[in-house]
This record gives sequence, structure tokens and C-alpha cells, in this order.
Amino acid sequence: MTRKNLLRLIFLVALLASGGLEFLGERYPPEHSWDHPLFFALTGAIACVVLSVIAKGIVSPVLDRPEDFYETDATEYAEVKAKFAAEGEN
Amino acid sequence: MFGLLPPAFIYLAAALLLPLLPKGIRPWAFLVPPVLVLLQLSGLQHGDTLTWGFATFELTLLRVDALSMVFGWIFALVTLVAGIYALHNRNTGEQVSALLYSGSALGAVYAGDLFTLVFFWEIMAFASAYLVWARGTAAASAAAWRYLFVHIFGGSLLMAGVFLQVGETGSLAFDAFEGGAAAWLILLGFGVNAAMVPFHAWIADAYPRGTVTGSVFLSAFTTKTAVYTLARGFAGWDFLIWAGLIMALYGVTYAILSNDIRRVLAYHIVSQVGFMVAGIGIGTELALNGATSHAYTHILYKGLLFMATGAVLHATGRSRMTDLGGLYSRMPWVFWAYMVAALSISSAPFFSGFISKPMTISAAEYASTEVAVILLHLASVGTFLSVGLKLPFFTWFSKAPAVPIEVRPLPWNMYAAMGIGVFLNILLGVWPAPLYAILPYEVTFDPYALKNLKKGFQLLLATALVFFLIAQRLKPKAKIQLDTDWFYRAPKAFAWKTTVEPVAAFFAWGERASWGAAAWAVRWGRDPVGTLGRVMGRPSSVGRLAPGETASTTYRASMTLMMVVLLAGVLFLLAAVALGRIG
Repeated sequence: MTRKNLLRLIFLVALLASGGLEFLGERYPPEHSWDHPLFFALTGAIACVVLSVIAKGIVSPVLDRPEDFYETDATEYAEVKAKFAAEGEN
Repeated sequence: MFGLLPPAFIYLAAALLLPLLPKGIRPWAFLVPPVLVLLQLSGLQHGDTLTWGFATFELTLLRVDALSMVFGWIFALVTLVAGIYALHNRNTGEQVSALLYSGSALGAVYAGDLFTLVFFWEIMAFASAYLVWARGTAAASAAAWRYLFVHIFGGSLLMAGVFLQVGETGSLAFDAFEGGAAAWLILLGFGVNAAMVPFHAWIADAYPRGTVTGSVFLSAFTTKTAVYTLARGFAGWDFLIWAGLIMALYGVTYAILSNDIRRVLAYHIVSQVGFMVAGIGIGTELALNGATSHAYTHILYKGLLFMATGAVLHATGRSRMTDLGGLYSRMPWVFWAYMVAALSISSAPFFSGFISKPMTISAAEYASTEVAVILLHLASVGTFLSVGLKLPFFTWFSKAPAVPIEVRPLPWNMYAAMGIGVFLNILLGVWPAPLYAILPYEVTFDPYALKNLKKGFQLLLATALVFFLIAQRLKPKAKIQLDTDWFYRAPKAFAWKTTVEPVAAFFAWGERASWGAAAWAVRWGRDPVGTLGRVMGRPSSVGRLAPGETASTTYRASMTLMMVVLLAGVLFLLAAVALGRIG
């Protein structure tokens, strides 16, 4: 088994184990939405997709600009590069 | 050890003395004031105060209670760690301004009245701006000016509120506010420093442009001082719940898109401070404990995040994810230090954030709406997505960029400071008792209850699963995103054209006109007789003068006559004036 596959296996086991925590401890009838089993696993997965879609799908197309959009920033990274070559960053 | 001396004074005195020491020991001398203050704080008792009569007011330079002590401890501790991180830095200006900055943050936290608060608040603004300016690039210098102007604006709102408050009540006391115009102005003044949306853009503008060591200081003090003042003055204000939720979500959205690694972290300050602000808005004992403890852990893990990303910048000269990648084989220890901080900010179990952030969310579950709770979870997932997964993936893994990365060795002190950060974040994560003991209220929250563990693990692992499926879609782009700083940066060209250019044009015209008049006078004055002759229609007998030659260099009888007449006239005038005086 390659190292990468081993890491994948460990990750999957941990994921299943975190779901398995649902079966430990006492259970009460749910009062809020977050009392349902696996609520947080689903929230994590859905929230990840939702945020990515909002950021990359909506915000990015509207608000993305080239890095030299502002006049004072136009040469910023060239200057940082020159500074690193000459004296380094402290 | 120093009795009731305000801790700020130790820092301010050190800032004055430091430049007098030999250059080689200044970085080490920097560590003395935080150690002294830590000793000093251990001797203070709740209820201690130090007052000073000033004009007709009594100022409270020192107010010791549970809330101010939590912030005092962490402020002194983080100065020490950041000071170790900066031991290699020989820039005296940075050392002095870092002392002034962290000292005035301590001064603001222990201030018992509004005047003392404003005094230290303003020093903080100027001293911290220098830490950005000291980077030395044109973009950093411009960002430092903008940073300063925004903070002067915030300070002015605060001061206006204070004047109004004093006018209405006659009291300078800094306690919980009741409402009214004065309180709202003060709230907005605090809000600018807390990076409240829409007054937050300065943080993403300035912090990524600060010096490597300066940004570690910046990440600790300004926003957390504001959290302290909000907790002191505005606990339980509903407005803050919504302001905090907006900050939490706004910050993560921009962080997902940012390309500069330190800008990602700056946007996460907005987001994390949003959790604290929301907790203050909820205002219950659990929520205030949550906000306070989160400020404490936030300073520890955010400092470590800025140290690790600063180390990448120091070693490679790069800070954009599009320029980085594949660094793991060359900077593995920095990666692991970063991951400890990233897991802490994501509130993974056994790391520092886990003992504080869930406390705030738990307070929302008891005392706020279901929507608020779900939005806080959403922001929490976004934090792990960008700080815990995206940033490390595209910096240390993914594909190395086309231009090979030069990796310079890091000074030992950077590793030492990061090591201390790692230790503290893990220690606090597994052993929260020392922090819980100093919180303002008794702690009833158990982070390691089964339901909290379940929540922590499920959220993070599910987020990670989805990230690995969509990672390539989140690939960073060499772009910036417009933010509210557009409103004061974009009109620059217009303002320049309408205000600066007409004035400059008027003065340029005036300059041209006066020089033109002088040139004209010189041209005609070179040969007064010839000029006179030309005016009277008789061309000069000498003819045209060669360039550089004047009429005075050539002898002519008519010139002599003219000069004699002029001299006689002048003598006559002088004689008349003199005689008039004597007579």
C-alpha cells in the first residue's frame, strides 16, 4: 500500500469513526435542528460546497480585478522580489 | 513588583531607553519589558486602581478586574513570543514602535476612564502604522498611510462620542453604555478598530504589507483591544450579534478568494473577531466567557499563523499562493507549526481554538436564534476550508511553480518562537483550566463533552472530504478582490483631478508668469538706452549685442550722461529725505 493510500484509509476510518460517535452516550429527542444525528457531518459537507459556490461562483466573477488595479500596487510584487534579492525580508 | 504602576508605563519607558543601548543588545532588551510586566501582573489584585487628578477630572490609569486581567496576561505573553521571533531584526524603529504599540494596547486595556483610553488608542494607531511603513516598499508605504487615515477617522469618531458623553453626563467613566448618540459614536469608533464590516478593509490592505515580524504584533493588539472595549461597554447590544455574524461570514468568503497568504489570514481576523463580537452581542455569562477566551486563544494561534507565513516570506521572498507550492520537502517544520495554528483556528479538538470558539457557539444555541447558530457553523467551516486546507495545500503541497523557489535558511529564533507558539496552542487545547480560571465568570462549559467532540470531528472531517474532491476548483488566481477600500482608493484619481491638479496648475501658471516677467525685464534691461531709443523710434547706435554681452560692457557717451542724470536724481532724493528728517 502506498503512503498516499494509507493516509486516505486513515482519513476514511476517522470520518466513519466521527459518525460512529452518534451511537455513544444517551440519546434525547431532538429539540433543535442540530440535535439530529450526523447534522454536523452534513453541515460540514454542504457548507463547504455552499461557501465555495458563493466565493468562486458569485463574488469572484463580480469583484475580481487584476493585481495592478490600484496604481500604488502596480509594481508591488516586482518591488518585493527586488527587496528580497537585495536585503531580504525582516 | 512595581506596586500599582500601570504596565503601559514600563513599555513606554523601555521604548525611550531602548535606542540608547548598543545596537547588538537592543533585540534582547526588547524582551525585558514583557517579562517585567508579567511579573507585575502576578502581583495585582482585582479591585486595584490607580487614579490621577488631571484638571477637573480624576483619571483612572489602572483598573484591575477579571476582564482587564485576561487581556493583560495575553498581551504581555504575546509581546514576549513575538519579541523572540524578531530577535534577528536590527531595525530600531520597528523595536521602538512595537514597544509603543503593545504598551499602549496594555494602557487601553487597563484604562478606567475614557480620556486615558483615547490617549492610548491614538498612540496605538501611529505606532502600529510604522510596522507597515517599515517594510520599505512603495505599496507598503501607501498602505500605511491609508491605515493611519482610517484609524484617525475611527479615533475621531471615538473622541466625538467621548466629548458628547462627557458633555451630557459630566463623567469620564468607562463602563457599560446605556444608549444614545454618544454611545453609538463610541461604538463605531471601537468598530473601526474591531474591523467591523464595512470598516474592515484596512486590515486586508495593511497587514499583508507589514514587515515579517511587524505583522505578528499587528495581528495581536488592535482588534483585540477593540474586543475588550466592546465587551466592557456594549455587552448585550443586539446590534453586535448581527455585526459579528456579518464579519464572520464576510471574512471567510474573501479569505477563500485571496491569493496572498497573509491576506488570507487578515480576512480571518475579521471572521474570528466576528465570533467574539457576536458573543459580546449575545451578552450572557457563557457568551462573554466565550468571547473573552476566544480573544485569548485567537492571539496565540493567529500570532503563530503570522509567524509561519512570515517565515515563508522571509525564506522565499514570496507570499502569493500562485508563486508557491511544493515547499513541504524544504520547510517541513514550518508546515507543522502552521498546521497546529490552523487546527487551532478551526477549533479542532485538542487545539486551543476548541476550548473557546465552541463556547461562543454554545452560548448562541442557548440564547440566540437558530439562524445565528447555523451561520456561525457555516463561518467555522469556511475557516477550516481556507486556513486549514486551502492555504497549506497550495503553499506546501500542490505543484511547485515554474520559476524554482529559492529557500533561504531561517534564523534559530524564528523556530524558537514558533516552537513556543506550538507548545502553548496544544497545552491550552488539552488543558484549558488555567485560562478558564481567569475568565470573568465561572465556566460551566465542558469542551470535551461527547456532543462537542462529535461536532468538532464531524464538521472538520466532512469539510476535508469535500475539499479534497473540489480542491482544483479552489485553485488560487493572481487577482485581487474589490473591497470597501475601493470607496477611498478608487476616487483618488478623481480627487486628484478636482482638488490637487487645479491648485497645482494655478501655482505653475503663477511661477511661469513671474519668471516670464523677470526674463522680459532682463531682456530689455540689458540695454536701457537702446530700449529707450527703440521706444522713441530710433534704433540703437550700437546695434545688436552679442549673447551674454550687456550694454554696460561697452563705453558710450550717451550711457555716461544717462548714468550721471540718474545718480544726480538719486542723490537729490536722498538729500531731500535727509533734510526733511532733520528739519
